Amino acid sequence: MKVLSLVIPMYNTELYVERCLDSVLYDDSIVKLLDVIIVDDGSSDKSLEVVKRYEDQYPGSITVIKKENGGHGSAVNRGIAAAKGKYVRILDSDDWVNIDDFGEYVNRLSKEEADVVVTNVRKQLLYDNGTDDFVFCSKKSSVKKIETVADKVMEDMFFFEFSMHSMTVKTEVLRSVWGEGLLEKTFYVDQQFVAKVFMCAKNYVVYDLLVYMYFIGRPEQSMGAGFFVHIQDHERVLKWLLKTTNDSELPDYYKTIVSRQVELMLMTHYKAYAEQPKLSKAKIEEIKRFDSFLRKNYQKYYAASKVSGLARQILSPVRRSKPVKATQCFRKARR
Amino acid sequence: MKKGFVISWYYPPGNSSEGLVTFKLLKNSKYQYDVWTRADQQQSMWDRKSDESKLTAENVGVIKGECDDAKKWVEEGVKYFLEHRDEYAFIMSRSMPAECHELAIKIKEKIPDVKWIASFGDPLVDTPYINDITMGGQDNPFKMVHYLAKEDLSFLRASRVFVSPTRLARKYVWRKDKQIGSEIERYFEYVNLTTLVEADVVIYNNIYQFEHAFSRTGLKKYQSKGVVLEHSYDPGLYPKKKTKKNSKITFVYVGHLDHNRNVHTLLEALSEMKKRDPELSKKVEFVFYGHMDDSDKVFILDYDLVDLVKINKDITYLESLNVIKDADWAILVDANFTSIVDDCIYLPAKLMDYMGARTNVFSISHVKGAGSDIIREVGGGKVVTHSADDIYLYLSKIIYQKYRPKPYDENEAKKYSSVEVSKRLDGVIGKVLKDKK
Repeated sequence: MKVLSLVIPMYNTELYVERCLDSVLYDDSIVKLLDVIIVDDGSSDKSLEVVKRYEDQYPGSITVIKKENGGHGSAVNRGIAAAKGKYVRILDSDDWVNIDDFGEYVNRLSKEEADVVVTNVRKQLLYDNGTDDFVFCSKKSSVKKIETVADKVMEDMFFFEFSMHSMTVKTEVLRSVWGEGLLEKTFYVDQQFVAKVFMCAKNYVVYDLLVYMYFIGRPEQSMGAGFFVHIQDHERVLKWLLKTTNDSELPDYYKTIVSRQVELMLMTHYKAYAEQPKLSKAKIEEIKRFDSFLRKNYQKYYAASKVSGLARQILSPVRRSKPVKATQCFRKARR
Repeated sequence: MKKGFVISWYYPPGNSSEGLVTFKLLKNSKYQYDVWTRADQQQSMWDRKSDESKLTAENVGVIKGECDDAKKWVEEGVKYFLEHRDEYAFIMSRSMPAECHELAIKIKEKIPDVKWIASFGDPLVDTPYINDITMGGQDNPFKMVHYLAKEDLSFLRASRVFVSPTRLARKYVWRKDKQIGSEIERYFEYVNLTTLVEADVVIYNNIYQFEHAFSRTGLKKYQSKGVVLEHSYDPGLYPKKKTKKNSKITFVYVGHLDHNRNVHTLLEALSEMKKRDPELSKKVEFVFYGHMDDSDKVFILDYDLVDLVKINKDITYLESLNVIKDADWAILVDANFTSIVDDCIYLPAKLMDYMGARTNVFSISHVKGAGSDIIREVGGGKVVTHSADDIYLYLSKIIYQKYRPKPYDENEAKKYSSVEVSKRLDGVIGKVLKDKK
């Protein structure tokens, strides 16, 4: 049995995917333990041509799946469905793995029994000419019950530690809650992935290994100003998360974690509207609808997330000409 | 047959990249030229060591104007042209510096019907480099001296190989002379706009510069004047055989590095590799010829990379072709302007010299850009980003796994031979002269 299924969703990354695969396939001795599934999400560039070459070179270890464009989530769904490894991990095609620790990581996975394995992440901040390391463990750690993570949910690093880029999950455990999988044609489904892991995992372990190289510097990435363009996707993911909090079958620790996740996402969501220099009528209607939906159905989160002050300012009939300073607003709300 | 009057501040035996590009282009053209250049070919910070009189072409005459003052050089150039105007069918101005176009503007003012081909080495307006210069740069020529002063004197003596006080002083004087600030910015804007409006043809060396020049500056209506003519290599200038005896994998870099175009991430990657493999210097060496930024030199000392990285004195252009031919990999570095522009709009002329030697190119650049696109199209190289980890990955593959890039596609590579590029220049000139009739 393969030890690790690496699901690589790919869309128009012909200039990056070689690096991703070269890093994964660097150590010959572990290639046989890998089940690399590249899901081409209808790329219009030469990405498919590039990865086909690798598939031909590593027939037992690489599978290329071609599908119509359906977004990151749909590509992950196809990859999870095809995974044959004991563990599964998502690796974006413009990111790569650290060749120094990847071999040891795969070897340790072969003997591992925990549902979730967390490893360190390094952000490659090309714009700033540097890197940012997220180290979650500096010494050997033991397997812990997943419900214990609820105790540290208020820590700043929590959602970096338990993120799509840091987590490796037992395939059969993840499949038990996968259902329809991640939302299709939607950005920010990594939040959904995290929630799904907390729905199913019983325990976790942290390895002091730097595995994931998270590349930030591709012009097409939906960072910064691009966020507001995909704000409706953000709303969709938020609503999905809110809905799961009503599921009586899910454990309490799940609700604690997701409540925090929702709270943070709500702040980001309202902040994105507040920081726009000018909002069109359609956008005002959009946030108005969401605001009343939240107040009506999830009053608890509305109050807890401290966004009400911000909402009032966004929706005020006499909106200030200057964009609302969201950070000030949060500060005020906290007081 | 009437000649072309080429205005080029840099020209061999001065050894700047700009002058060498002009030399290779003209040498292989079917037209006759006179190049108006500076008399005193003393080295500036951009120059490499001079090749004396080895770089000559039968179809190109060289006329030297006053050198110590660019404005005077412009005036003398105009005067010379007016006195000899009957000898010339067209003029061609080649920046940098912008004074070359200024000279052409002044000729055009006196003789409005003169045919003018303007060739830009780099765009003048709203570019990352220009913005850096107009903001005064970040380089402090005395940074290295301050650093070394803190160390003991034996260390200072040992470090003398890394420091050239003459070069630092020259750089300081150059910055002072250039009157860095908004005045120079306004001057660039004036020269750029007037050139685009008045010239008959405007040449850029890559499509990114072409688009940058016409769209970013709001001058799209002049786009029909634009032509892309890449830099080239001259196959006749290379040695026939490799002479390398060393068994180590050799990486070389020939040319100018500064605080923008630096090798910091490469050095970071090397220091990481050395931590894991103390014997690394037995397997590989990195040899740099020419100026390197002080902070990079400090890094080499701080991280004890002196056994891996050698910084050598300048060499002549022809010597550099030997060195490139002998190397296993030639390093190409573009400045990291990711936070300002997505794609790299600069095409380093040394890429063509590397290609001419058919040496593998290790390029640290933007993923998309003029040089990166050519490397992918022609083969023979690997493009990595300005990430030390990205560089680390591919250096490891090269050093420990004998990684080889896609081989050179001969048909694609030949497109950048000066024979081919000059043919395209001849086509441009032919069209301009035909339009004249």
